Amino acid sequence: MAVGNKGVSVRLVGVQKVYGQRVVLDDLDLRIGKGEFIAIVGHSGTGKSTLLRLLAGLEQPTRGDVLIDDSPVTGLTPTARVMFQDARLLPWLSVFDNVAVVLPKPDKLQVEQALDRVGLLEHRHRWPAQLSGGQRQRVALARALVVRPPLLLLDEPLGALDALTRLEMQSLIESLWREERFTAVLVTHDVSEAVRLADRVICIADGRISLDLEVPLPRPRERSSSFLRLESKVLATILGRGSADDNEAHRVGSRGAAPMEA
Amino acid sequence: MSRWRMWFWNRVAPWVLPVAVLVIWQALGSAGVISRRILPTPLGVVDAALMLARQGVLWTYIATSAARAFSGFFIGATVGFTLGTLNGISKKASRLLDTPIQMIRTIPHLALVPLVIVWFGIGEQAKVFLVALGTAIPMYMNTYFGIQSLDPGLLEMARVYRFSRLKMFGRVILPGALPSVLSGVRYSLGVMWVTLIVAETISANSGIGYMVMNAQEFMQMNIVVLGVVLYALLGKLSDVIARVLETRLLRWHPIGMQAV
Ligand SMILES: Nc1ncnc2c1ncn2[C@@H]1O[C@H](COP(=O)(O)OP(=O)(O)OP(=O)(O)O)[C@@H](O)[C@H]1O
Ligand SMILES: [Mg+2]
Repeated sequence: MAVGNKGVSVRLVGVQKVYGQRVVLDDLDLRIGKGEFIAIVGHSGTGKSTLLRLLAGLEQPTRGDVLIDDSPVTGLTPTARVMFQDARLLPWLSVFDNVAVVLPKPDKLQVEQALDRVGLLEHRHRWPAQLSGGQRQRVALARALVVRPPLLLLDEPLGALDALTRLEMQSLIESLWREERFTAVLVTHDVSEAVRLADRVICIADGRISLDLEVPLPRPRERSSSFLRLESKVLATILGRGSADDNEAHRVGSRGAAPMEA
Repeated sequence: MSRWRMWFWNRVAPWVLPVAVLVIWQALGSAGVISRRILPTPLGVVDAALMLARQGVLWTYIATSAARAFSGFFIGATVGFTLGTLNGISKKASRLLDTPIQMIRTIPHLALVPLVIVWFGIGEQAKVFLVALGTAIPMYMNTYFGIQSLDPGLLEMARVYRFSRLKMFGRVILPGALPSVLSGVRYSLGVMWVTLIVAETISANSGIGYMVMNAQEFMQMNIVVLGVVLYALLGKLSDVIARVLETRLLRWHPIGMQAV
């Protein structure tokens, strides 16, 4: 298995994805550098998950190419691991075994280190049913990271968590990413989360990229005025307003981001 | 005081009525109100059991019946589980096999008794075949259903993590279908005893059914009732076995088992 500490580069060239009559993604071009953290935002049903599934190799593009480290993806992407909105733990395996089961050769130390990094070592003997939603997502994170994958794909992994747990998980993901330097692609509905974590925020609308915005802020990020300005710019794009109308966008933006300010 | 009350209502209360019925039944029988030719007294049944046990035939009968029941169950459960698994994991297999099996399912297997006697005679094979047929169907249904209703999210997760076929089956499909498979086991054990009772009553030269039919001819009603009690106890025993299996194998299950 191709694993290592360095992230991979990702390139989409003229990617189109059609389901039946519906063109979900159309002529999409995107470059993601090694070790970069990308956030993808956009309305529901605009093809964010589809894009992630293309990167994972769970779907093949109708047209165009997905290149990982400059070689085209055929079948499942060997370097990628995926975290879903639901943890998808095997209910009949303990926390420890849920992480161990993804290793070709179970390695106690490796599993315990992974659980330790997400702060769940002491719960390793529990059943998934005995964990909270946030703890379950942390097990899923440990499972995704135990092989130190070069590409981590996250499909709204924090969407179902309460605001406080979500903030904790964001810090955890950020610090793990800073240690490991894998390439990360995070799909999220939460614009603050995107601006807080990503090097670049990408908006998808009508099957195309409508915004590709650098976030040149130092980490860990505070909700400074430049943070808020970037956030409203993203929101304005999603809501289909020109980013020129900053004030208006900001008003809508702070309402949209309300859970984060609680 | 209140603890004593709780103990009474939890442990003793459920037994009050059954014990009362036994006592009244015994009293009516002893007083001659109920003829022993119609219904023996509870003590008469115990007497019959002790007598047959002393002669040594009681254990032979029980062992014979249990052997028939469980060998039929073993064959039927294996066939049902295998077919259910096969159809669960292979679309082609289910296209080919599911409809015929569903057609067989609509035939009550006990309706085949005359046919089975013609095929196999009245020997052991006929009884084992009937039990196997009766138990295979619920095992098939529950296994197939259990695999079909697996969480597709877990299957996709296993794909993303590149589980080998063996791991996919052993760690995802089988444990996921297990609750359903075990309710199949419990249901099949019930079918097993009913089938055996019918088969043994029609023809046998050993076993509990033989004992009962024999006793009926000589109007030994206490032995007839003993046979009924034995069937009930064996049925209870297999239910307990199924329950123990469920609690041991489904420890991870948050709600415990759902009934069939
Ligand atoms: N397997 C499929 N077959 C047919 N249509 C599909 C399939 N998967 C997705 N779609 C369609 O593609 C479109 C994009 O779906 P996708 O799941 O990528 O959206 P999304 O941006 O992730 O939405 P959300 O934010 O709600 O998760 C939707 O209209 C959906 O109905
Ligand atoms: Mg989605």
